[in-house]
Amino acid sequence: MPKMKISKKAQAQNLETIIVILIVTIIIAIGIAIFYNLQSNSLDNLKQLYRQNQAINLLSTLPLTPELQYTEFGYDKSSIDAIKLLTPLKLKSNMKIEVQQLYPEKPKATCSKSNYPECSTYIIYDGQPKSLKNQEIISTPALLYHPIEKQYSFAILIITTYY
Amino acid sequence: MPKAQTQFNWIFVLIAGVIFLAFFITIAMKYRDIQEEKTHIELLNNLDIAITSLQSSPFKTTTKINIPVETQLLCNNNKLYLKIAERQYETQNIIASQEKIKNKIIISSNQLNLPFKIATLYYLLPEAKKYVFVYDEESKEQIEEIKQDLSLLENIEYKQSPIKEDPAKDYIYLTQSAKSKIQVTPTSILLPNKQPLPYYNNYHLYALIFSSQPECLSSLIDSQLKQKTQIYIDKIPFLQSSQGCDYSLINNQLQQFPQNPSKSNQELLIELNKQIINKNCPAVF
Repeated sequence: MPKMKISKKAQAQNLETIIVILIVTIIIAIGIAIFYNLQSNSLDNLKQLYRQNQAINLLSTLPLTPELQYTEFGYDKSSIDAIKLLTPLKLKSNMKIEVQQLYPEKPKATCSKSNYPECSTYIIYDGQPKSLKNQEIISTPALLYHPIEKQYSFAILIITTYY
Repeated sequence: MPKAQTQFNWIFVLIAGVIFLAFFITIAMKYRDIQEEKTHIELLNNLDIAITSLQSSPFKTTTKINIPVETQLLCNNNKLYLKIAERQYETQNIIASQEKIKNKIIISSNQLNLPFKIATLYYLLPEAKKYVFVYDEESKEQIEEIKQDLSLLENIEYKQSPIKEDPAKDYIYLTQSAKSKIQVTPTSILLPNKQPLPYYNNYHLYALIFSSQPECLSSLIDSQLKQKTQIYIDKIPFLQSSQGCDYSLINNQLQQFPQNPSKSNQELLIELNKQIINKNCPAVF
């Protein structure tokens, strides 16, 4: 009989140890899962920051690209060629890039080869995906040059990033 | 304690153990992936910032960055990719570099004008790598231009032939004596065991020299040349609406230009553009 009693006590202790180990392991697992989630969130933040930097870099370099830049004798004239804006850019990005002429004022219409220069909005790239609803808009002032009229106008270059 | 109970306990412990082990292994693997992706994004971001600062700088300059993980530059079907570990990231920039880059890298850039701006070319050179341009009496004029263009790059040397080669350095010959090395003629570049590639100005030449895939890079530059020429061809119909301005000559020249952008054809385009401006008509480029 006493032997039986010791065995039951040992069983209870064994069970207790298993439960304690199980609970400790579960707590560690929860801790690791939370840590992993935090790391995952920090990666998402880093991706977001990278996306923002890409948009800012594009905003500062786009007016200097041959696709937009107005040149004379091959030299940069620090302005955007309005005629070049009528040809859409070839990009692969979740972005919309547009140039809005502010002064002198023009009719509020999207520019095309048929209504140029009597329009104010040049959409040079539209890669808005239907599935993405969040958007971030950045813009910078720009000088627009109309080669036929030989006239400068004040405009704003806008990049909308969708995510 | 019944035998069945003991067996149940063991089975329970085993199953729980396997579940926990699988959980911890999965988390560890995912954590490693997250850390790798973080490194990749930081690297891409640093590279983007370096390239943007070079592009927007009004002065001729170079910059240095550290690439902590081995990065491959791949060129396929007129597209460039940065391959970091197993992931590929497409880049819109035209980069000339060795196939694999790591640690300290010098980045330099030049605008490729043929004669209008085609693109900005970026050269990524390992700081530890040395390049030697070998010249002779005939190529002295060309080497002076090269010295001026690459004056900011400290890892480039210039030596007059004959020379004794150091295996640790890369040699580029502007002479006709070399067989198994890169050889430059006034209009083309000869790479060992490859077909000669034409180049249209010095900046184009440097891109081909510093690239590990010069054929693909050359084809990429050709496609950019076609695209940029098309921009000016598309611009002409609008300019033609200006009274008394005739763009037919420059239009014809632009149509044929991508097939032969030789120095003489570039000069002809510049001359035609000048004639248009002198008639008080809007310039094409």
